[in-house]
Amino acid sequence: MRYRPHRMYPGALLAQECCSYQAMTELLARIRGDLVVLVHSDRDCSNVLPKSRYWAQSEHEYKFLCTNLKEDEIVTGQGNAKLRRALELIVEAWDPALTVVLSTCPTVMIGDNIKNVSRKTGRALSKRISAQITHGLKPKSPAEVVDQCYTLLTREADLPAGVERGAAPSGERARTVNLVGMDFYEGEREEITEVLEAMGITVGVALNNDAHLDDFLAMPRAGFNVHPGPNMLLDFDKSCAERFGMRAIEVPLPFGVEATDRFYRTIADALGVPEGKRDEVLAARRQPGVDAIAAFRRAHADKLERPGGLKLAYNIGSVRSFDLRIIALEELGQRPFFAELGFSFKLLIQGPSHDENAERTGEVLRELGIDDPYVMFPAPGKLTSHLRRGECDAFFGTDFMRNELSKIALPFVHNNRICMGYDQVALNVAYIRQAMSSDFYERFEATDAA
Amino acid sequence: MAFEDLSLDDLVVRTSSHTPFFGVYLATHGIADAMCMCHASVGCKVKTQSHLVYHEGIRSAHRRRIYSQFIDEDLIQGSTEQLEAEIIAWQKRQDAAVVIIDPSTPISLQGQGFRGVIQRTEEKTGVPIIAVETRNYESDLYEGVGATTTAILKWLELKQRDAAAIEDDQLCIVGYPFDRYEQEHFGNVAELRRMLGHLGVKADSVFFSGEPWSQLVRARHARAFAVLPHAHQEAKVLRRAKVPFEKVGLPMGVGGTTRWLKAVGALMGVPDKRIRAYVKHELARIKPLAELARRQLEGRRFAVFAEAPRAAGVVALLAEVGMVPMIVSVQHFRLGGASAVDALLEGFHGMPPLGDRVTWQEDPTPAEVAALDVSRLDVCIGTTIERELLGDQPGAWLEFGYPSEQRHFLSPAPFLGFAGFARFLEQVMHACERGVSNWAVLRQRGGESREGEGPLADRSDKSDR
Repeated sequence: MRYRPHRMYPGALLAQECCSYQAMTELLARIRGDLVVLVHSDRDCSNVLPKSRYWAQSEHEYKFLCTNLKEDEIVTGQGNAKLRRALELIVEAWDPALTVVLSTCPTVMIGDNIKNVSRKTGRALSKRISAQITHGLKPKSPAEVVDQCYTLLTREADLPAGVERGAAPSGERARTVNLVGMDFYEGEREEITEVLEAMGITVGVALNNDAHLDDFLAMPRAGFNVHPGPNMLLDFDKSCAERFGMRAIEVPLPFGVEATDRFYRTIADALGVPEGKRDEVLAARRQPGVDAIAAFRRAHADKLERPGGLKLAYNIGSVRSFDLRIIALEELGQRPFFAELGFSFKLLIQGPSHDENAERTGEVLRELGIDDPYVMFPAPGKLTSHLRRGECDAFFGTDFMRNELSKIALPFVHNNRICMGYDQVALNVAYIRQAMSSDFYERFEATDAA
Repeated sequence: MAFEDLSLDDLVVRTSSHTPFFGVYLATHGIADAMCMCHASVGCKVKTQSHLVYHEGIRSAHRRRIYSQFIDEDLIQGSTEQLEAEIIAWQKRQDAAVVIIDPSTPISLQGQGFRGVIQRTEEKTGVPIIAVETRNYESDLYEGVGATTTAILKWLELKQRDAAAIEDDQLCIVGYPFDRYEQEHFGNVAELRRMLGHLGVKADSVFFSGEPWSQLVRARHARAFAVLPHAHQEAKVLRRAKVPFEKVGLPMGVGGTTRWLKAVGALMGVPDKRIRAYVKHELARIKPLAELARRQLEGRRFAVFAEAPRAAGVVALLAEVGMVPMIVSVQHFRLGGASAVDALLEGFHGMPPLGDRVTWQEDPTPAEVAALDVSRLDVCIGTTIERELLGDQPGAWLEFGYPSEQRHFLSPAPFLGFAGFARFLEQVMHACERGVSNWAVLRQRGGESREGEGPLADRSDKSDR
């Protein structure tokens, strides 16, 4: 079987590849606001759109439409004309603030010029129509598509009155930050806002999967974009710097106490908050988390003291996500929290099991300063051939691995259940203790049903 | 102006936008040890499996679905080498008993053939490799399911089968709409076999039933083939093979099940007397259950959202206990629209056509479904898609068909046969029970007057008796 090295985005080399079209639909689906997306394709590609689960946020009857090209229209080159007419119909019906046109494999193969048609139609109708070439013929990193999507949505943003293009942040903008790329669970954004405000920093908009189109258009009111790094949102940062004079602040993901310290300190230092003020604000918030971690370590003292200590099987590359809180730092953003709890790690990385890929993965981990042992497995069904019963104390990863874990009676910690910030540390610890004490997998034999 | 007649409705993504590409995958999902090799790029992987993730509660949607991962270079230089390498590697990893190739639109645009691929990969794997070639532009998922059925039946070379291999008591059932490894489907297949067993008939091979390939290919030994409505259009492959077959209805409801047993029994040479005696026995057994259901449900009004065969089955079954169809929204289009439902009712359920007595929809847009007023109905029966579109309206829902993302089963829940009659009515009764409380809430809030209508009126009627 051929191994094709990823030509991936630098910050997410171990993530699953994705189709930029499918990824873009998934990202745009949740963006609220006066936005319509037209897929230029045959019907089959419109079938990436889920039909249930209230998935698409829409202000109109439909958010997603498709030119539904028929075979003869594709073969005889009528795609551009149909696209033009479809755009006219959308504008006539809803006059959306923004219409996004996406291409797919078939329309890229036949060379339909969606950018040209969209530009001309937008000009003729005096409407905002943005086209993005997307398809699955060149697999992308999810992080790259997030970058493309955010760059696309801020293309039409305007500078606040009186601010010159490309000028460094000053005045209120110099004290305002946007939070970019991270979804927030209940309580997380509130904590970040409160902590930063206590330092004199204002939180502007949050650009993430739950954002509104207006948030993207209003984002230049802040002088800084805070997002996980390294090597995330490269085009977005460049565009924001050139057009709006905005600066990017790359932060670690605030999972656990120490990483949360670093998260806040990085922002505070970038905005020139005095050290004393900064540490005073943080000290007031972090103690319950420190206590929870200490309690966990006391409760597991016997395991921590045995040879090998507490060990976590840490899964990477099995889940497709467009949330930087998951995919940044090669999906290792939560590792520092588990390290605080006393875990050592065995990394289980889903991907081609070729030697060449294993070597490349080793290089990526070394660059991140990670020297944990790791194994590559090609598919979920092969996961447990790399884990001995009793070798690890828990598995941290994606939900559909549960059945695999029953083969070795390994407790499961869901990678979506660990939350960010100081306030969440005690809850995270409680969840992990509960997960590790479950005897569910001791009761059932493995099945091959799933 | 080009495309002057184009309208927004032509641009809408409908339920029926599930294309044959997805249908081939869904059919392959129904063979326990098959592997579906989507000859596709990375997005098509999501396009197929994501529609099954929440509907299928037992077997992961991705588990036996692989994709060939072609990229632009492969399309230019030829993608068969990559496809073959993936088939060989993954067949071995999964120990797949059969590999079904499901080609995506870019491949169909290239007009790529698979004869050489099949020959070479069969030699290297030692298992059947079957390519199902469909067009994804103008049909729905049932085209893909049907094409997979046809491809496998062709592969079986029934015309050349050895007459000595035919087993007199073996019937093959074709067209069972299997879509997940849950208990409504296993319950249905068990019920069909239970009923047939009473007639001395076995049905080892059911297209498709979530059973292994070795079980499916027992079709070679079938004396005859019973073709359910989902596969009526596939019967031509049996005609060409010159094997005995009969197009039958879905055995839903007492009438539909009785007719089904008579048709299948006749096909298999079972004496009519034996069939009648068995049906009589079953009817005596379930009569008290039917009476109970009728007391609870008679006069209640319902809407059904399903593809034509299942819509007809639901209407027929519920009409038997006096329920009143008000809306029949026929989803998808390959299996027919309103006229197909009426024809199935008349031909296989012994019911007069509904004609203009109900509100019909055919392959509706989501907006058309959302515009329906179901607030005065007692229960809606349909998929998660319609449930979500109509979710703001009060009333009871029973998820039924594909997809049913909220309704899952932990014990057998057939809707076919005599057992299915009782089990399905039980679900409707339970759904309506919740519906009553919704109505009561509305009345308490001082909502619109419903005097003399609906379930509350039914209850007072009952007390008068």
